[in-house]
Amino acid sequence: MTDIPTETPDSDRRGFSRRLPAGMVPFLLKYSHVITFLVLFVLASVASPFFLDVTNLLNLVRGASMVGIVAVGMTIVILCRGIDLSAGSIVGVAAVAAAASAGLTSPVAWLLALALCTFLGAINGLLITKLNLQPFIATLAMMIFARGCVYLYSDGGDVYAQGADGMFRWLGSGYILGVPVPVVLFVGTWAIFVYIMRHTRWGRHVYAVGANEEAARIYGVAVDRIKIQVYALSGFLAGVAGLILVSRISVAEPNAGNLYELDAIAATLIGGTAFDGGVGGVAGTILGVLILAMITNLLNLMSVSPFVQMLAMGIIIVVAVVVSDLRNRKS
Amino acid sequence: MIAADTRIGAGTTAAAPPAGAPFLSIRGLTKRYGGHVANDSINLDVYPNEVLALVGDNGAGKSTFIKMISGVHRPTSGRIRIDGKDVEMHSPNDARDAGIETLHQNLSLVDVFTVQENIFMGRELQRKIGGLVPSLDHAEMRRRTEDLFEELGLPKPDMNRTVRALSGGQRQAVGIARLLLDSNVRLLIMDEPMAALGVEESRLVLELIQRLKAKGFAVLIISHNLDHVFQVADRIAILKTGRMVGAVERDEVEHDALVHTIVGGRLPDHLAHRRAENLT
Ligand SMILES: Nc1ncnc2c1ncn2[C@@H]1O[C@H](COP(=O)(O)OP(=O)(O)OP(=O)(O)O)[C@@H](O)[C@H]1O
Ligand SMILES: [Mg+2]
Repeated sequence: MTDIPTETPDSDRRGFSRRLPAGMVPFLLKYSHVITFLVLFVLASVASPFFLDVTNLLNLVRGASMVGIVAVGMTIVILCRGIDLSAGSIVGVAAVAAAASAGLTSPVAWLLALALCTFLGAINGLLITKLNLQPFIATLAMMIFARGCVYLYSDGGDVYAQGADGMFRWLGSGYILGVPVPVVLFVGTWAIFVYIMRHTRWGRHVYAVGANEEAARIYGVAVDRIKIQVYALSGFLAGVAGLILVSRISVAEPNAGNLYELDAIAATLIGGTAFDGGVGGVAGTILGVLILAMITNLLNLMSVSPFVQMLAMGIIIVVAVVVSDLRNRKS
Repeated sequence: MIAADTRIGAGTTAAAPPAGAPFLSIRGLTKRYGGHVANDSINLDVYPNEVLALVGDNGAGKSTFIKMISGVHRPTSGRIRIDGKDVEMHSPNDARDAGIETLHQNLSLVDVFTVQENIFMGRELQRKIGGLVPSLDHAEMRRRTEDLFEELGLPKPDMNRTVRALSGGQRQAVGIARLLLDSNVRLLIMDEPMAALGVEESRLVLELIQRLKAKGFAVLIISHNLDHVFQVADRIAILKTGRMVGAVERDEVEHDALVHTIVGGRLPDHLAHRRAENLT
């Protein structure tokens, strides 16, 4: 590890790095989520002989895929210096909308549900840009409103996907070349948005709005349009997660997707994206998602009570944010 | 001191402003913020290939004025002409299309972006792979960034570091390099580019401005430092509480007379023909 280039000669001026070789601290900070992931991975394989089993690993990722897809959208919203508290409720909207319209054939049901979710997301964006609401407030209102719609429609009970065809269940339970469909959707979505955020103008504009909205505006970035698109996208991706959720059991529970947004925010932060926008990326989010999933898995294997697991999560989020803060200050 | 005096012979033809037609012609430009009149019926001409300094006390309305001619704020009333044609500027992009690029006070750069990302922000170069998949041309943007610095005779900064790590002078150089990206640029506006810079760094920026003029650009610069103004400007326009007092040739005024004009809001009698209200 001594061959790490010391491109930042002034980067180890701080006291806490004095005992480490130059360049080591920025490296550790930069890849802290990767290191955490690898450490957890090794710990889990040692803790249980079944952990490395391919089926087990695929199950682990499948279980995380819905939060994972929501987290991709959440990361883009946070990069744009926003927050989407309504994502979990919109997962519920998608589940209920798809179940209710399942009889119209799966593609129609899916399209209807996704259109509705994208529309709700776009409304978030409109509230934020046109009415100048804080993202926290606009999406909090949408979170309550959308969940209210779900309860109103379902009357508080489950909504069954009546008349659903075979495809309906395939989304949540099928396989493509031996890989569960939700895993394909999650990893595919993640890969597409890693590319978009890094290699397209749209991606750069999201970063610009998040890093310095005023400068972005002056430099000709269509700030309002970007924001509306970002929230619409978050709604759309929450919709995809909702489709997977309802597909697995062909029933939409009215609290489907409840609190997904919080896991997605946690995964985003653990993945190295700064809460105040402009820094980080979708790439790290997959690690954030898997780190959360592995911690749960590992603590379950060690029969640690779920209540203690929550304590661990809380601590990990704080550590992740402190580390990402240090990293961003040093780069 | 700036090395070369590019103004030998200036001021010999007393009454004549710079030869030729103005590039930018502003008449009756007014901006109200609620009841407050920040710019009151401003008249000003900006000629091609001159350095025009805009001076005035804090709150005189200098930034307000350049925000209108750079498309950031819409005027309440008044007219902006470019090459004799009326233009409406609804956004910074409209001003850019008209050949006006602006380095704004305190808003110039994104700290967490690299040099290259700052230079191309809002006009990233994007290709379509197979005519379909958009893809940023990182290599070409890098090449053009390096070219820009070379053209300006500036040392190449580390492209991979965020601009937060740069010194004030280096940051200002990036902000100025950014202005030259489009080939149709004709007027460069800089709002207090030397503010918060040390002596040596200010000198570098002043030299840069001279070099830009030599390349044929018109430069409109706002500064509170009258020494800088006398070093770099061909003409000096004076704003006083939202009103344009007038614009004089640099050699027509002494330092003290300029201070009097800025404070008193009135040109000395022998320069009465330079008053803004004489522009029609
Ligand atoms: N967005 C705004 N809303 C309301 N009033 C404003 C706004 N911008 C500027 N003003 C007011 O307009 C006047 C002119 O401000 P401006 O920023 O143009 O001055 P300036 O000459 O650039 O000053 P400085 O030298 O301090 O930069 C000031 O009284 C200021 O308070
Ligand atoms: Mg100002």
